[in-house]
Amino acid sequence: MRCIPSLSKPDRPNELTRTARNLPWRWMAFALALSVAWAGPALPQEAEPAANPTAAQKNAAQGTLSQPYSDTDDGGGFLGLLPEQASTYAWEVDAVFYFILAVSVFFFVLIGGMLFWFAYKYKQKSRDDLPHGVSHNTPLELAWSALPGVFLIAFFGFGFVGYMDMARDPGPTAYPVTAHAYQWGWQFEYPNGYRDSNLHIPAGRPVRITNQSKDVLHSLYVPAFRAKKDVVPGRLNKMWFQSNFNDVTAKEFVHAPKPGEPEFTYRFNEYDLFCTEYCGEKHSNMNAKVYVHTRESFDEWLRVSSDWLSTTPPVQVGERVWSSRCNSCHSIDGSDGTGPTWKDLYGQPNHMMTTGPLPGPVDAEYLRESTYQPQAKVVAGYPANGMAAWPLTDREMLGVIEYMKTISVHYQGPTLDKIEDWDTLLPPESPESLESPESPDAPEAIGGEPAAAE
Amino acid sequence: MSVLSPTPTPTDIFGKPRDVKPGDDYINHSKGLMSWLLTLDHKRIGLMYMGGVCLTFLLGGVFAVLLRTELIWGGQTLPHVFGNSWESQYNQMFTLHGAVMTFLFIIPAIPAVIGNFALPLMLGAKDVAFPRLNLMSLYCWFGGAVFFVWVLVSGGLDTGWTFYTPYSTTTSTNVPAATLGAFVLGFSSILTGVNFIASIHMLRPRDMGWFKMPLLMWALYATAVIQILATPVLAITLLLLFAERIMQIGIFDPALGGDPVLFQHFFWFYSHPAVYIMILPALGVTSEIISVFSRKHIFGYKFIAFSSIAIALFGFIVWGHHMFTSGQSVYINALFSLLTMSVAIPSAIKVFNWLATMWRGSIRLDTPMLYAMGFIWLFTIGGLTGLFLATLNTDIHFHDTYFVVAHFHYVMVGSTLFAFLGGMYHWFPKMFGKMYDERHGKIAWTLTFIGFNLTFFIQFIAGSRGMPRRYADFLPQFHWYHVISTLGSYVLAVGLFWVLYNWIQGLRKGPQAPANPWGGNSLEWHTNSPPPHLNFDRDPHGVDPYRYDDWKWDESIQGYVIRDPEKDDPAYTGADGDPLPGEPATPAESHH
Amino acid sequence: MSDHEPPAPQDAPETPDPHAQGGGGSAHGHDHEHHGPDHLAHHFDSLEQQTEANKLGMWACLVTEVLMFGGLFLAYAVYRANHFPVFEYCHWFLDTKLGAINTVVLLASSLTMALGVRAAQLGQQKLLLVMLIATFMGGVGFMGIKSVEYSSKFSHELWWGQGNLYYPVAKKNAYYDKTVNENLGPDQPRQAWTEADRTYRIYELENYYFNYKKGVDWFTPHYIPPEYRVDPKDYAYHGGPADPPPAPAVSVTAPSASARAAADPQDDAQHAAPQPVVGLAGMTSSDIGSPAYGPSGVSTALGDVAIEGLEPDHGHRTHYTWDTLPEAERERVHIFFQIYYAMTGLHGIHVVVGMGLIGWLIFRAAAGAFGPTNFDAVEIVGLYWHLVDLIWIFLFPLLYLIH
Repeated sequence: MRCIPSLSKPDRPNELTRTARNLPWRWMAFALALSVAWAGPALPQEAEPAANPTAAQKNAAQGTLSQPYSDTDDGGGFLGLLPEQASTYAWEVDAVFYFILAVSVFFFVLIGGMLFWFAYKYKQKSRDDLPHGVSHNTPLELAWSALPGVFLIAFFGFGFVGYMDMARDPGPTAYPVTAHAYQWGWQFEYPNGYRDSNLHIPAGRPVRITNQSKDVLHSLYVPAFRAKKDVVPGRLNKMWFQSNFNDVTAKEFVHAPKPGEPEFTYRFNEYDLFCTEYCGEKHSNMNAKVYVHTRESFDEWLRVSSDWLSTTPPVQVGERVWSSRCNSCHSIDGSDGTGPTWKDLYGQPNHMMTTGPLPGPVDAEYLRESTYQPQAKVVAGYPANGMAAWPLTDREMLGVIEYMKTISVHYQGPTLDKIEDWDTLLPPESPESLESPESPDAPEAIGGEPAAAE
Repeated sequence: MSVLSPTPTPTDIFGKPRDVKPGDDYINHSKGLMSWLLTLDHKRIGLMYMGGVCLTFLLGGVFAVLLRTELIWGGQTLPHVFGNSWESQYNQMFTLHGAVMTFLFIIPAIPAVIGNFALPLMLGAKDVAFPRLNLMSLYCWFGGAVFFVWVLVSGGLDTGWTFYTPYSTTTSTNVPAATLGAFVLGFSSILTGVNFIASIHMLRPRDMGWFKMPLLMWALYATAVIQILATPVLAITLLLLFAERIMQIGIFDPALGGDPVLFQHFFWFYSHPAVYIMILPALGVTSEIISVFSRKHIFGYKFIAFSSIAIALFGFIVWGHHMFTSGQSVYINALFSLLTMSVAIPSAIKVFNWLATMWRGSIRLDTPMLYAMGFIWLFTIGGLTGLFLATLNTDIHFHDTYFVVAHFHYVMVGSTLFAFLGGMYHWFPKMFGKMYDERHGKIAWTLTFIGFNLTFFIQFIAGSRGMPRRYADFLPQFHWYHVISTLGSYVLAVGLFWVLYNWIQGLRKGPQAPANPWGGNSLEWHTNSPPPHLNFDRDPHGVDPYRYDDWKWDESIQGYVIRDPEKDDPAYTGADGDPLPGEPATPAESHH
Repeated sequence: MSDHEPPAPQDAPETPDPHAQGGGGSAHGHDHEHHGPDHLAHHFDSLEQQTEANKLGMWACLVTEVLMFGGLFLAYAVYRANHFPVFEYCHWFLDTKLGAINTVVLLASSLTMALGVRAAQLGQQKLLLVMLIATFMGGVGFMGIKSVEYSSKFSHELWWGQGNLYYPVAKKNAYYDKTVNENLGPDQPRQAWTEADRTYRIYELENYYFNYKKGVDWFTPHYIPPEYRVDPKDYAYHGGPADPPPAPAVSVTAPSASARAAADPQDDAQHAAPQPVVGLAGMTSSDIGSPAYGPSGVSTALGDVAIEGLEPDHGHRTHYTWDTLPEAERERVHIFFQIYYAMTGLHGIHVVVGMGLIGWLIFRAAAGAFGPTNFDAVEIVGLYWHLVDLIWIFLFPLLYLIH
């Protein structure tokens, strides 16, 4: 969505999402769970900008649809114990949760109450008191061995039924999305090959996510959907969910894809998406947003977004590629990261590699090689296998190079930040393709085989 | 019990003043640093373990407070001192907090300190079966600790204490040293386990049957079984990880044809039973304290004893519940979920039996009892929240969130720490021959208890609302949970320092402890405080450890004494080893 | 392996008696000391109790050992179940004959160990010494044969870690970059493998192992009659008479390959017809013509063609070669060797530890330390040695006899 300029959007008041289905559980749990009620969720939650913004926040700061801290915390759930139920199977999880909660609270009150009551009632009067009670009662003990078993079987059964709903295949009508996880961010790939760092899905239709990891373990977690699946390198873990459109919390904004074209009103719900498997330094920044669109809104979004390369000037393409894929390792302000900074990189003379300085200044050829074959030349002081090859398209690559020129003191030429500038970069006969280049050296092609096939 | 009239002179179990000569008890039995460093005395080894685990607990605790402080606000809070960035600094801190607390503190805390000290005493033995292995175990522990110190000063560790591949094989931090450290610590654990099993089998007095052992022995036996069965699997896992790291053998690396989930299976095959290594001794300690401070026979001895064994055995078949979201087969998940439920039953048995023990007892709320009751409270919360994690679809939601963090802190830290502190208070007079200050003990308990619940209960709600664990930063909707949790952790820290102060004051200025301040009847109370070098002056024989009829309160020494001084101590054979009625004359022949 | 230390507390008389170390001692309470022989520790009532405790402790240690190897066996089972072709393919590279000899050696040393324990119990000091030395020599023999096996694997680049021939080329190169290339000057060529280099070397290796070495191996059901054997001299290069690949400018094969080519100038002369297919980027194994391998080759025919006197064994007829290995399994071949070295290496460490313990027993036995009432140390070391033997009994068929 980053190509779409930010517009003001009407904020609707957050209301408790009430679905009729889980009401019985709520009431059943209500009386018992009062004893564990905690003031935390009721406290005001202010949107403080973080000192060190996450990737999503950075995107937002640059003017996008997603707001840094939009309050997706929509209450939801009894006593605010659980987030909003935003998927079709969320209520099953919640029902089991409240059932176990009710039983647990009952036993906890029982045990805790006895603990206090006994300590009070049977307080020692004299040190020589020597009460003689029964030392065992086998039927009683058997009873309290067996009683929990009944509940345990019930928990397992309910949990299993709900889990099978999560674990089943959503069927052929499911909308397929591939989630590429990397250190540290997400790339959600749509059937037409378009990739976005946030997850946009159509409402009212099951969505099947295929998890692929570029490096280490990650885990895709959407609390509002109660959905979670690890992203394991070398495996294709699948998950699915279906979100119904929630009119109460829906957000809207109006936007025309190009000047002069008719405006379109996007309607969507917004939820948080987290990485929950520890994956290294910026694990806590590896979150994104889930946008659940109405059907029309989703189609329009995908159409406009997929077309972004042809409607965005070169420098802006480069900047967007950086902010969505490269910024976790390469800084643009000169600070050191997992990889070398891009500031003043273009045109830099005597760029030092592990094998000595480059013969000439840093140029487009070198940058291409570093992108498609990162191991060919390695900058001194950085690990040889620190970066995997990125299969950028021609346009993206050109955009990145133009963008790097704009942040380098070594380049004095013109800035190509107009849409017409593509004509100078891309000769008309060269077909532009969204597909990845057929580079045999790229270890991981887009959506291709896992790393083992390299 | 505030000691009103401290007894100036040491007394024996009959309340008679003891004729104290230097070298009488194990502490001043011999002098000099080497007499401690090379000692084969289980009591001294236990004491040295205690010094070590308290130091590492302090280290892990400092990390914990720093972690919580980092999380009191979103974004960076603490100055960036080490690591690539402040996030990486946070990652290193939580890793070292977890690794130090798990491998160096919780696992050895009760077995190696209280177990080492109390096990031979409770068995009426002179020492553990293999004193040299015991000493070697101590030095393995020190060796492992040295490795972790090396990790601290050589680039840290940022894998999480679970060492999940492939991150652990690619990160630049000092994973090899940490794996070697954990490997060496594993040997420490195994040696303790071997020792305890052989001691419990072979060193009981001739008439102490299995069901006359104190319940702590059952708990330590079950622990030892886990230690010798599960720890070697961790050892081989760590060796493979080490080889993977050094030589890139690729068994766990998908880029080389390996399987990272296999590592998780290996790791949890040890580490889930290891959770029971941490909790089982705590259950045993609680069984002792609850009965003694209710002055009532433990209820349902056999159920408690067998439930310890059951927990140990069930612990081996539930490891898969750590991988419900890893993409393993749906039916494997279902099986592990069902099996995991089974652990709840022996746990519930214990809790109910403790309550039944307290029922109609004569309950004295001294500090050890407060810790034991605190243990029941925390263990109940930790156990019940475990149900949410054992159930399949709720676990999908809670997995790797703060709900899990809160859960395992309740069971591992809350329960084990409380039992450890309770046990330390319980056996403090026996260990050092001094009494601690009861008033300070109670204040410290209050702070610890409130602080702990404040810190961790709120994390259940943070987790159930979707706050992922191991996050250096968080979205603002989670802010207040973190604020409350952090403030709670400060209260907890103050409480723990208060405990330390209380102990040190007790050691320095505490009045002379009687042989039996609590009226317990297991064999360690039948000898002096502190015990002599060889534990007992005469050969003890088995008594019912939970029958308190033989003891009466003696106000003058602030302790319990044998009810009829004319009668000899019922736990001893007659003078100079006269045979018991119906026993063969030579003890050696009749040993079971 | 510290837990192999026999838990016999009587083992070192030079260590002062625990009660004595304090010097002072108390007035009473020590009258139980020294109520038995010297080797009875103070905290045991009787020798029987002490022996029982020692044996129990050792059994607990053995259980630990079994579980430790159990982890490796589990890894083995998982990979074998998931990637059977790899295991079937790789077992050809292990020398069954040497493995079998080692099994016999280890079994024999177990026997001598058992006889040694008996001699100790009967007080036959000399026999005990002889048996212990024989056992020790068994360990020496085992490790000697093992080192022969290892060194041949090493020379064929079937080594642990990155040194394995089957290691994925990209990762191998990344390793060279880190270790070798980093220290090269800017004008020196980088050391790197290409897929073609590796394929050539693999064919060479297959030729050697499948057709020459295994041809005289009577333990494998795939007995290769002489007429089907391929003389490695004729097929030093898999594609028939051909040169080894010319080394491209940027690609230098690992030194042993060129060393071998240089060491055998006959090959160069014999295979004069150049076949410049190797070393080109993008070449796959199927680009190399395969008269002796592949679907119609000799190796594949081993199980398929009815050889006179031998029934074709359809149950075991799949004999994978590099060409017939499923594509996805090729990059996993090295995993077999990683597991092989982990298992045999850990076992080897145990053998060495056992030899150390036996060596210590020899010294003690020479000093006459063991007798009918004091043989615990011999017995528990014997238990340990039997376990080491037992583990090998499992390792041998699992690794060497895969079909």
